[in-house]
Amino acid sequence: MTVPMTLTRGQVSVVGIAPGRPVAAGSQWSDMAKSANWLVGKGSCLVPLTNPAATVPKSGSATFRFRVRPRALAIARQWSVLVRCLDPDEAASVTLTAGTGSATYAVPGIPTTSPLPAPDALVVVDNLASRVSTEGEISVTVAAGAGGDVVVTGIECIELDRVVMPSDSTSYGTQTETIRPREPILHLANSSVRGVYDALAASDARRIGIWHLPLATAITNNSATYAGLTLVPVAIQAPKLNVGASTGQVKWAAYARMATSGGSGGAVRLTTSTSGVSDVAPVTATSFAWTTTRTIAISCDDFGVPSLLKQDLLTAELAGDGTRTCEVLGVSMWVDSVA
Amino acid sequence: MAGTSEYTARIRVEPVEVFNDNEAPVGSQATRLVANNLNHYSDIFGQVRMCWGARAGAGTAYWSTAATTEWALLGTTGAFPLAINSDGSSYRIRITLYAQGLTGFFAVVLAPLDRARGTLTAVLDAAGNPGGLQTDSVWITGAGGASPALISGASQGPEAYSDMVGLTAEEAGSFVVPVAGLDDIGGNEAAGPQCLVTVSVWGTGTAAVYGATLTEVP
Repeated sequence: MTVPMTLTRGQVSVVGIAPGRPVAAGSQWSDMAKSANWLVGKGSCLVPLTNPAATVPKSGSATFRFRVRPRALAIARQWSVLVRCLDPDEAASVTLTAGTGSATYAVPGIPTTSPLPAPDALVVVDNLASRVSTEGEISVTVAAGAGGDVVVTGIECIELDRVVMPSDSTSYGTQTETIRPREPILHLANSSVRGVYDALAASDARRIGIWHLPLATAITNNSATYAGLTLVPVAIQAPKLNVGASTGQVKWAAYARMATSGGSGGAVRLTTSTSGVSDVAPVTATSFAWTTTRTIAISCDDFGVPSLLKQDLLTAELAGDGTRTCEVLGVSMWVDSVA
Repeated sequence: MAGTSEYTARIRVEPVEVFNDNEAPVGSQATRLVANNLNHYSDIFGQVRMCWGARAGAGTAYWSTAATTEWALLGTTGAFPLAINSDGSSYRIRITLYAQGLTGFFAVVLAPLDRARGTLTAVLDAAGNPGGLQTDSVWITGAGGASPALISGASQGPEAYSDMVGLTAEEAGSFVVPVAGLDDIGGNEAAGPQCLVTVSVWGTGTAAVYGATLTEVP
């Protein structure tokens, strides 16, 4: 049996849940079941739209890598890629490949005069072969045909919302008809009061993707003096978990290498304005690989502000060892847990 | 919308703290904790929809337009199912924009992409200066500066948010469409309603966007 995904979130009125008063099936328990179904069915954004500003040459390809921990409740992902073809005479054939998904588009050529017309937004859907809940790399490959060079100005990946959830031990759809007034309280999986508790325990309400910097061409630095990976700071914010918290934990890693072996190695450093983070990921490997995942605490939601704004401005930097060059092809930051 | 949990936080307890006897009924304290946690998890489940700063390195790393008196699309998310509050209004999108452009104005629009251009078309006068609208789904800035900097603006409807856009219940309802998907891994096709929108960034005049962070908030 499947449960349809609810269009709206639930919002439970807790004022009436008090000693000596029954918990009402028609409002409170029903609202809790609606909330539980929304939390298990809603998808997270794994990669917020980011701009690699990358040129993929004609007949070439580029793979953009990201590190996250997805939700086990998701069964499909949607990648959106913004591209322009710079050849004025021919359309470029652009193929996107991500997981089980692949799609090919003809992107019309444009003259290189300003103003530039709108980028084309290309989409590929990856229907997952199995559920994934462990930290790891996800990637999308953009391949350009012989028609013309392609510029990638945006990449995004979202977990698609469920349209229905089976009432089972992997999707946790709670049958809301079992929680109406005059229905018995059942100790059955995915039904009644137990269904609400099961779904809440299995839900994973993470704001997963915080910031990613994917690159087609490595940014390099051989100086031991840090140099910026971005031209401006990046506004970041974590979800609030604990009572009175002003910061929330996120994880981060860099996809990097040293161009030559020996020496003390290079490093990627993240610093923040409001939360005062200064964290360094050492780089010693001579093949591109993700650095050991690190945990930092950045500013979290401020519920005293209408927009919940408590903004941190992130500065990401790279350093070599003064002789040898450190090269970066990506940096990722994500929320790992809201338990 | 302020937090909907009494604690504006999730509350972790050991089961023995609220379920203190196998034979005792489940009390109001336990149920109220569950309800508050459901509310808070729903509050913090808004997603970051866009987050970037122009990369270092060779080549143009920003979004730009030049010398135009029309609104030009600089960048957009893909279509995504916007979170909807229990009253039918949408989650808001909080905006942080790094931009540059002494003669440039910028807009952020929350709508299906094919509707965004039509909504914006009415807000430029003959000189290419933004005029007025009556919807909080559009946020428009003043002119940028000579260097990339955080830029301020306002939504164009009665809420006049300084840093957000959002949809009324009526607007959100008009964007609800049936969406197909699978019912499980390797499963059968099914369908359900979703409020599908994009968040798009536009510029007019000589304008360049060096970074943006757009986040869903309840």
